[in-house]
Amino acid sequence: MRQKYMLSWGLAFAEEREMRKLERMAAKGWHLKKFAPLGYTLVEGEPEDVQYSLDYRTRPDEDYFDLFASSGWQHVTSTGDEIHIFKGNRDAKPIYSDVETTEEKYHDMERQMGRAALILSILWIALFSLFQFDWPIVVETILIGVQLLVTIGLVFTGLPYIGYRFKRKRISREG
Amino acid sequence: MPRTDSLELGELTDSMFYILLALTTPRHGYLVMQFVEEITRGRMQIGPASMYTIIKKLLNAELIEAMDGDGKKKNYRITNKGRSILTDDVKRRQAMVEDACAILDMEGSR
Repeated sequence: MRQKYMLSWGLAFAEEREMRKLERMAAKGWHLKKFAPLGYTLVEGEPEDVQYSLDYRTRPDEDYFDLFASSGWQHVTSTGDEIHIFKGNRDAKPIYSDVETTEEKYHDMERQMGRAALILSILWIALFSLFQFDWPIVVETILIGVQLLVTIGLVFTGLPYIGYRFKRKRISREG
Repeated sequence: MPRTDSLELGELTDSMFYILLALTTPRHGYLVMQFVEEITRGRMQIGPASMYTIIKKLLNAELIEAMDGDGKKKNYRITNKGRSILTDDVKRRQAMVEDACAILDMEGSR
């Protein structure tokens, strides 16, 4: 079976856009199979008119997937026992039906990312202050390397944090 | 900052209100969803993600409890605490409707 890679621009920013894109791909016969690093793996098959929905849920039990299945949402794939994608017919009802719980969907992610970004910021500042001292060249090289990793970590937690926060605010404003 | 949880204020969201009503009889999740759709004549339909979120929340707040179900599907039912919060919320909503009816001169004011 032929496979295809689809890039993700980050779920915090492009969740809806990417779910709609997955639907257009399914209509052309390319179906979501699983998450891939920074994207999705699609496999070739028959064209289907479906909708995709994504949910965040840490270690859900069997009841969770049962509820979705009985409401017409078939589980497609998950990553890290945390992010789950479901596929439904065109007439399947939205998986979130009120503002309060929709807001909560993003609230947990916002909190997780915010906490990680905060810890990394503190680490970043601590490392930065170490550069004030004179270090042997080996130590300095290691420090630069670590600083670089922390910076990357900060980008990948800080930006999603802003994205989720923005999204949650929009949901509570628009109601 | 997270916004104040309506449960902490002792107020139920509309979805919670109907889910608690449904659980005055032991039911599992999907039956609750169907029950709510039926008694509201389709006005309110609860999605599976919302349903799961609310069940967890009501369990944490001890407004409902899980029962030993037949097979793998878990049944839930309202607790005494849940019933008393639901009753209070019904009164609160009733008072709101009465206020509105009195001002709008509609049927239902007393």
